[in-house]
Amino acid sequence: MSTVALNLRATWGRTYGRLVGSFREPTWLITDAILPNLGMLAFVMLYRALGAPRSFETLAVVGGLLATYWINVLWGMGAQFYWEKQSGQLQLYFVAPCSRMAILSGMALGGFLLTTARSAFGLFLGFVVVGVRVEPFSLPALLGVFALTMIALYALGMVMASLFLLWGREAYHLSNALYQPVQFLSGLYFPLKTLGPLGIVSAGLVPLGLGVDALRQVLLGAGAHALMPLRFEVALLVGLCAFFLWLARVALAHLESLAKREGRLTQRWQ
Amino acid sequence: MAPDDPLNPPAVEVRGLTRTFRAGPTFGGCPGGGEVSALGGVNVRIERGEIFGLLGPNGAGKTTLIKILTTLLFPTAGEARVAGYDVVRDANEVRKRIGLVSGGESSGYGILTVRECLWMFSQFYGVPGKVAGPRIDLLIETAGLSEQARTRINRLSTGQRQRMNFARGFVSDPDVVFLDEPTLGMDVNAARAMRQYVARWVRERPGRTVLLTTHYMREAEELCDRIAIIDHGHLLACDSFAGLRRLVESGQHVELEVRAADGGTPVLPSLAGVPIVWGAPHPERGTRALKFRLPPGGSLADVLRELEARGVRIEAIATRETSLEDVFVALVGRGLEESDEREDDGAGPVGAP
Amino acid sequence: MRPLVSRLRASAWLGLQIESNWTDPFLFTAYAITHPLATALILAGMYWAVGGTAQGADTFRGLYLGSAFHNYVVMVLAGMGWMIVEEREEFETLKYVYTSPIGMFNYLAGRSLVKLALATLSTVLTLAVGWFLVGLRWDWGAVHWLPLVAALGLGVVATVSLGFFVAGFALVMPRAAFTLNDGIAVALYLLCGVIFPVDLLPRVLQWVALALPFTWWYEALRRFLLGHGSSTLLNAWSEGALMGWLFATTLVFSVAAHLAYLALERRARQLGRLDQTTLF
Repeated sequence: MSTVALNLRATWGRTYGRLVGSFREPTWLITDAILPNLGMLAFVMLYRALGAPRSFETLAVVGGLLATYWINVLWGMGAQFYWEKQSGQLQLYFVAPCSRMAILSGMALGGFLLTTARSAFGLFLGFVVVGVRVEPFSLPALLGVFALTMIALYALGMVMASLFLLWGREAYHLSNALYQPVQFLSGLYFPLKTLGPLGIVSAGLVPLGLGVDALRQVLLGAGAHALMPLRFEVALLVGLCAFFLWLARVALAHLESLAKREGRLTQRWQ
Repeated sequence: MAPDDPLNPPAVEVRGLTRTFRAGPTFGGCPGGGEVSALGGVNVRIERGEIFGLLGPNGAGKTTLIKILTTLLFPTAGEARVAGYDVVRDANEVRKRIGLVSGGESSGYGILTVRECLWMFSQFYGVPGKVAGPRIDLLIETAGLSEQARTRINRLSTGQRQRMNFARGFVSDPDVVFLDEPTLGMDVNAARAMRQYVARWVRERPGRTVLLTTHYMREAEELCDRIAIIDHGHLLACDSFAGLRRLVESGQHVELEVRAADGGTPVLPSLAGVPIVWGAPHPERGTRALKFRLPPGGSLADVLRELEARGVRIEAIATRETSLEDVFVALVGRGLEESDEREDDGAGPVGAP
Repeated sequence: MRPLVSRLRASAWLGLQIESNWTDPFLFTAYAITHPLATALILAGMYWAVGGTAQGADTFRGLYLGSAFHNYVVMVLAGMGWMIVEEREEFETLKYVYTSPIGMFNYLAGRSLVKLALATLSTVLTLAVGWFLVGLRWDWGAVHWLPLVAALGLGVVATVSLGFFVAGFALVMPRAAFTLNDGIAVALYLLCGVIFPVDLLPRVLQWVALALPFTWWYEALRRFLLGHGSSTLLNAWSEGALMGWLFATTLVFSVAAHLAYLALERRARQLGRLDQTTLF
C-alpha cells in the first residue's frame, strides 16, 4: 500500500472515531455549539452599551465565529496528544506506520463538525437574532480567505501538538495561557488596527488575526477598519500557510525524536 | 553487527543495548535529579518463527526493551533491529511490521464499540476494508467478544478490555508481535484461549514471531521456545526451558504432608543429609508440609525411612521437576513477589551471576 | 470537626500541587494572570476601538469592574467542573476519592479553596490593569467597605454553590463536562450584566437575570465601589434592597444548587459514571 493511501486511511480512521463520538454524546450541541456563542453575543451587547457604530457589532460576530476555530485548534488538536498520552493511547499511534500529521488531520477533521455546528449557530445568533449586517461581498473571495486562514491555523495547531510529545502539563498550561492572549493580539473583537504596531507584529505571527481582518474586509469593505489592504493580507496568509505546514512537519519529527531520546513520549502524568 | 542473510534477517537482534533515564528539571525549573540505568548492554537475537519469553521482576527493563524495539524510545547506546530494520534509522519500516499489546493499559476510546475501535486501528495500519472486516470478525471471535462486538468500550469489564486490546495487536497481521503482559486482568479461560491463539498464530504463519513478557511462569513455560531472564537491565540467561534448567542444580522437588506421632513438629534440619524446610501447618487435618530438593542420585526411600523412624507419618507425597520459578529464583536470587517487595525497599539481587 | 479540617486541608493541598507543581512560582504566577489580563485587555481594546470618550469611560468603568469580578465565576466554575474531568479521565482517581471517607463534597470544597485564591489574585490584577493601564479609577474615600465585603462574601457563596452544581453535572455527563463549565460561565457573562447593563436584554431574559444572584452581585459591587451601578433598572433599588435581593437570591440559589448536586451525584452512581472514561 502506498504511503498516501495509508495516511488517507489513517486520517479517515481517526476522523471516524471523533465523528461517532460526537454523535453519541449529543449534549455537545448545547455545551459545545450553543453556549460558547453567548460570549460573542455579550461583546456585541457591549458595543451597543458603548454606543459604537453598527459595523463594530459585525466585527465582533466575525471574530466570534473565528474564535470557535481557534478553540478547536487549541483543544481539539493541539492538546489532543496530551489526552492521548494521559490515557495511554499515544504509544499506539506512534507504533503505527501512518504519519503523525495524518492522525492530527483526522482529529482536526472530526472536530470540524463540532466547530462548524458552533459557527452555524453563531451565524444564526449574529445575523438573525442580533441583526448584524454586511456589505455585498464575493463568495469565492470569502471562501478563499477562510480556507487559507484555516490551513494556516490548523498547521499552527499541529506545531502546538508537537509540544505535547515532549511536555505534559507544561504544554497544556501553555495552551491554556495562549487562549485569551491570542484572542486579544488577533483583534478578534475589535479592529486589529487598534493595537497599532503591535497589531502588525501579531498579524505576522498568528494567522488568526490576519484571517479575521481579511474576512472582515471581504464582508464590510472600508467599515472593517482593516490593518492593511486585502491583497497584502492574502499574500501574507499564503506565506503563513506554507511556513506553518513546513514547521509542523519539522516540529513533529524533531520533538518526537527528542521525546524518545528523553523517554517522555509515553510518560504519563508529567 | 554481524552480517545477516538479507533475505532472512532475524526477527529481533539487539547488540549492546543501553538505556539510561535522567529525571531532569522541567521547563519551569522544577528540581529533579539522578540517573537510572534501565538497560545495561543487552545482547539478544530472536529468530523468525520463535515465541520468545522475557521474564524479570518489576523494574528489570522488560518494558524499556520493548519500547525501544517498538520505536517508542531511543536507546542511549547500542543497536537494535526488528525484521532487519534499524529501530532508530528505519523506524517507519519497523512499524509496518510490528504489533504491540500492553497489559493493563487502556486501548481505544470509551465511546466507541469494540468493532469500531478495532476497525479504527486497522486503518492506522492501512488494512483495506475488504481484508479488515473478516479479520476483525475472526479476532473478535477468538477473543471471546462476539457478544460484545457492538458494546461500547467503556461498558466492558477489565478482562474484556484486555481481550479487545489483545485482538487489536493482531489486527494488522504483523510479522513481529510484542506482547507486554498480555493476559493481565484476564480470567483463566480467557488467558488460556489467548495462549492457544498465540501458539496457533505462530504455527499457521511461518516466520511470524512473538516476544512475550509475563509474570506468569506457567505462561512462559507453556508458550515459549526460548526464555530470557532479565534483572536490573542485564540479561542473566537466555535459553530454552530445558537449557535453563540445566544451568541450575536440578533434582526432584518433593513436598510431603506429614503428621508427627505426638502432634508436634520434630526439630529436624535435615533428613538423610538432605536439607529440609517446614512449610505451613494444616490445623484442620493436624498435618504439616515438609519440602526438600532431592539432589541427583539422592534416595527418596532413605528420607522416608528416616521420617518413619522418628515417628512421623506421611499422609501425602508430591514430586515435581525443577520449574521455571526455581530457575528464576536461582538466577535472580529471589522470587518474583519478593523481587517486587525488594524493589520497593531498594535492595539489589542476591547471588546473581 | 478536626477530621473535617484535616480533610479540607489535604484536598486544598492537593489542589495547590496540581495547579502549581508543573513549574516554578514565578512562571506559575505569570500563568495565573495571563487569562484575566488578556480578558481585561480585550475589553480595553474594544473600548479604545470606539474612541474611548470620557462619558464612555464612566459606563466602561462599571462594566470593566463586572468583568473583573466575573473571574471568580469563570475560575471556580471551570475549575470545579474540570476537577471532575481530570480526576476521572486523566488521573483515574475519582473512584478512589469517592470510596474513601473524605466524601466527595468535602473533597470538592477543599479543592475549590485553591480556585478561590487564584480567582482573587486574578481579580486584583484585572483591577490593577484597569487602574494603571486603562485609566479606570475611582475615589477610594467614597467606597462603602462593609457592604462591599458583605456583598463579596455572598457572591463567593453563590459562585461556589454553582461550582458544585457544575461538578455534579460533570459527574453525570462525562463528555459534556469538558465544555459545560465554560459554557455556563459564558451564559452568565451574557445574562447577568457583566459587561453590559441587563437593561439591553429582552424582557424575558431580564426576568431570568433578576432571578440569578450574580446580577445583584455585580450591581452591588459597582454601587459600593464606584458609588453607582450600570443598570437603570437596578438603580431604582436602594442599597438595602439591593443587598436584600442579593442575600435572598444567594440563599435560594445555594440551597437549590446543593440539592441538585446531591441528586446528580446519586444519579451518576446509578448510571455507573463515576469511573467511566469517554475521551475521543
